[in-house]
Amino acid sequence: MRDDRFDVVEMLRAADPVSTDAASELAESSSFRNRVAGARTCDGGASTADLPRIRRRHVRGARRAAVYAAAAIALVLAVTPAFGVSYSFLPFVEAEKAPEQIQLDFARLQAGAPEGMDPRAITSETRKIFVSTFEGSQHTLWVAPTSGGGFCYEWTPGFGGCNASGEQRLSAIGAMAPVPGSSAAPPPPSSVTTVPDYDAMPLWIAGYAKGGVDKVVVNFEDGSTQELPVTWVGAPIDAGFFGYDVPSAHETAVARAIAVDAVSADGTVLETQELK
Amino acid sequence: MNQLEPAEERFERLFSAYAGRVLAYALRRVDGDAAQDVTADVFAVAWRRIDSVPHEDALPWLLAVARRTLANQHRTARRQRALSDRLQLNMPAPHGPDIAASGSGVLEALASLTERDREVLMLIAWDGLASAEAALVLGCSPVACRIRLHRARSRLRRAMDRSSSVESDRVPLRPQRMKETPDA
Repeated sequence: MRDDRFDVVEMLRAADPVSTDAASELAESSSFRNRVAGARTCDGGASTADLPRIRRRHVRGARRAAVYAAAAIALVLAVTPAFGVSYSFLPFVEAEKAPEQIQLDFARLQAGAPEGMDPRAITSETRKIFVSTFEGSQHTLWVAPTSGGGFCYEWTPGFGGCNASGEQRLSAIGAMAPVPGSSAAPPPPSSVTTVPDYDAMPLWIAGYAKGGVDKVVVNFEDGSTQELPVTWVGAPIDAGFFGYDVPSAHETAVARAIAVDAVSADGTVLETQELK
Repeated sequence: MNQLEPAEERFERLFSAYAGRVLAYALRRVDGDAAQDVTADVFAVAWRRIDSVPHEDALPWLLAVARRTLANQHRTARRQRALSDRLQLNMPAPHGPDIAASGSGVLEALASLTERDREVLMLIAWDGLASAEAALVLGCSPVACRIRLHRARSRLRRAMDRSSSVESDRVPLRPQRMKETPDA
């Protein structure tokens, strides 16, 4: 037996794998101080004493945002066709990563999936694509790649879905409302994803297109059409996404949006999806 | 310490005095990046609850917050790992220094103890707390902490004895030197 007078705590002290001095040096570094300042700001409770620092951060953030905005405008201008419909290209790997809560939402989407139907989304790679405004509220589109070569998406607030194998070329879902003057029942709360049994029209159209699609066009009841602004997302997603707030001029029974076309570069309609 | 000093000054003073020790505490238990996150979270809590932070010797209070933050992090990591197992994703498990594979007898013996024994020993030996301070971190009475420490010490000593006897079993015997016999 080891002698009781032999202090194991002293031995342990001598074997400490971490130097407190080195940790203190790291704690004093500006990168670590920034991390703490970030945690404090996110955590709330900032007092007026924080204002100068927060203001400085906002000024820096605004400058950075201006640079990004200029770059984005340049990119959009570079790919904007002559007829003036704006679309943009977003390299997926450069998109903002989703916070943990959104990643968990994606994980929950598939957690209860039956055997063989699990989309196998790589939730840790979920990224923010863009924000679309609908009736004054903002809806953010998040997308995660799947291990099957497709993707899952989620609008927050809103709905989500998957194109797990990437084979589906077009998806368009309308947030439906009763047409004015109809004797329709009020829409159910989940009307975004259900087919209403009343005379309805879409107020907002969201979806995606991929696989040889060059543009996405919405068809209205009155025969007019409108090309939708699309954000094309690079590999591994390789799809275009849209969130379209239908103009009020088309919120009538005779002018409502009725279908969305996926159109190739030579003008061929590759696929049509009805909005109902 | 002045109880009426502005919150910002008090926070700065807390940070300067203890950030290194809180970070060292976290680094002994999780890897570098996670340790920095834990420490940042601890000081975010300290900022939010600046009025609750003891004016005299705030270290046990801060380490208690760090301990709870780490426990939450472990729970989250466990849930994520369970989920990733279900989703068949490969997520790395968070870990601190690999003390079991350190090659140091005392560290290997430490690694063989329960988390409960390890924590009290680490608080005393590495974080430099007195047993009454460790009791604050562990959320037990000073007497209970002293008993826990005494038992943990004994178990560590026994673990070291065991490992040294195994070690000596493993060491190949040196060839015995032939006794020189004087020529007849």
